[in-house]
Amino acid sequence: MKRFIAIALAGILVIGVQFPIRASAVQQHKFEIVMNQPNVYVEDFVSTRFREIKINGQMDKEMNKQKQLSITIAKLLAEHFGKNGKVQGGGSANYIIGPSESGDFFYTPASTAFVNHGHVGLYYSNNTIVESVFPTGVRSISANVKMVEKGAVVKSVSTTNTVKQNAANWAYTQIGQPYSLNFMNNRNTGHMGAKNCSKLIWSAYLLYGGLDLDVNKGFGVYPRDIRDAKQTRFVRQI
Amino acid sequence: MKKKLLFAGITVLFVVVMTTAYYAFSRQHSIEFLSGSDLSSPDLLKDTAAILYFSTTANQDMNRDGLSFTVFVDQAGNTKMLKMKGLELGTIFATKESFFLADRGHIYLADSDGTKTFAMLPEEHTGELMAYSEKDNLFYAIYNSGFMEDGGYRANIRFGNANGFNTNHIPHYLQMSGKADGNLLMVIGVDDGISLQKMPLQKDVQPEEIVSLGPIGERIGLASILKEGDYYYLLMADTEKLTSDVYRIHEKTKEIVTFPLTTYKDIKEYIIRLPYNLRNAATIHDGTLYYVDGIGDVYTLTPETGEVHIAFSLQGASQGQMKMSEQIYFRDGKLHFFRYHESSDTHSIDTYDITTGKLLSELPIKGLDEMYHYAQLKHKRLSSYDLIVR
Repeated sequence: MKRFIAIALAGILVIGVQFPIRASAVQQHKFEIVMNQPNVYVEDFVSTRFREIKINGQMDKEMNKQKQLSITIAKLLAEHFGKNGKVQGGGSANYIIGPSESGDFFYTPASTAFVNHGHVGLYYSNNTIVESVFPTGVRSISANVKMVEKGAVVKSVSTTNTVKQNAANWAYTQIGQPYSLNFMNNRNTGHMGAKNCSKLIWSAYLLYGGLDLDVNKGFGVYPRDIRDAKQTRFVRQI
Repeated sequence: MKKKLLFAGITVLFVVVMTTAYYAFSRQHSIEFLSGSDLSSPDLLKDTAAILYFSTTANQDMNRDGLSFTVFVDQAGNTKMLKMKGLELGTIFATKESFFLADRGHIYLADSDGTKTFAMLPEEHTGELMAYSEKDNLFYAIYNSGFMEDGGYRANIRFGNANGFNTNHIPHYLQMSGKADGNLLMVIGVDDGISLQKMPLQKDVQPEEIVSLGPIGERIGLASILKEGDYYYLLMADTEKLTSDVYRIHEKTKEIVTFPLTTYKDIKEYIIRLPYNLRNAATIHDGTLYYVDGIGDVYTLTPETGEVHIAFSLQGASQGQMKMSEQIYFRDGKLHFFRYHESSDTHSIDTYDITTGKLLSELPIKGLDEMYHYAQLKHKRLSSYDLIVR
């Protein structure tokens, strides 16, 4: 029932959008042609069968795009509001991250206010993870009990064991440091003191291996930037 | 201009539809949770047959919106829930007369005299153990998330009763914990390795070493520390050797005898067979040690002979890395197993006789889908962390 309502809502939304778009698409196409061929008047080509077919083809493409949009919206609504969209086991499925080698790290999806910002933690030893969580700050937790989301991944950094161990050791010394909510500019903040989860790993490898584990080198290092850094390699996925 | 108006119109329409849908669906899913005062209702205190605890992990608390639920289950499987503020790895404690609960910043103590809620600062974010000492009529909540002023770890103990709670500190991270004979048992890191220690559950008493366990290597605990007669029992895995062993330690002579428990084909199998809840994974009954792994195999160890067997397997236990919030609880020779039924999308608490492996009863649990759905609406993922059967 809820899915039906969700689809109906999406349908209303999309139908309401499609008719103006169809008219708009024709008009826009006409103007584009006229702009590209100044000597041709709109009336000259509208009557041409070939051009009509082409314009209709363009409109069909627009319609298909709108249909895909409606399906996507319906799915999102159903997942968000409807019980049919719930995950397996009514939400009771969960995963333990488990051990990995010292210096490896994990990434897990994690959401706040509907935004999936992700989260990363570093293996200090096979069984002990160091991570920074709000508001605790940098802490350790046993890999035997650390729960992660479906889609989590364990990755290794392509460097020497010495660098990995040194990076992990430094991260462990940061236990007790407070959490920093500054992701936007955390590349430019100090390595010591408050830090968030991605800054912890980024600083550890920059300080002890000269490795910049930030895939896009933007102002902020986010968990996904660490996950996707080119110096990392896949170990296993949840 | 027309184009701009068109897009503005579409945007307004989209916002109106989404807002209407949100409020329409939100209203349909309002759940009635217990209030703090409901905890001391005579019916709840009397009728609660089992209690489950669920929480989000600490990394889902970025917006101070972490969630936890204590679920009270009656004899018919009906549920009532208390919504709290999240405490990863939190535990619960209950007697026939009282409930003792905690979230990241509160302690709840409920009995027939009423419910007392204590705001506790600083907040804690990793639960470990809850206990009650009849001798001094004090409840104890032990957390594994405190820090020293110099940045080192400390585990905090909140202790008290209806008159109030105070906090004591253990200057260590607890690798393993347990309780016996009025003592908190713990494995902690020391200079040259790890050490089994104990401390009375009293204020201002420092831990006392029972025995050194040597360098930690890649060893890690698989269950609470147990005590039976003169012996302590520790179940530990070695993730480098891919083995797990039971360490039996004599309280007075300090002699350590190691019994091999099981081996793992690879790290993937080790992860799959990690217990559902390390705190409840093992018990000792009639001189036999019982241990339940993460695929529902129930191991028995007879310390006199060192013999290990898989005595029986729990029906419907998850067999892969994906767990379905399973929990176990040992009590009076029975093993209670909270499980998920994929065929009917329901949960139950199944009760086994641990000596025979016979399934004695199955109690379907109603209403958990509402809790999961509530969390899902908030884009949160709940993990199960404890089960008590009264």
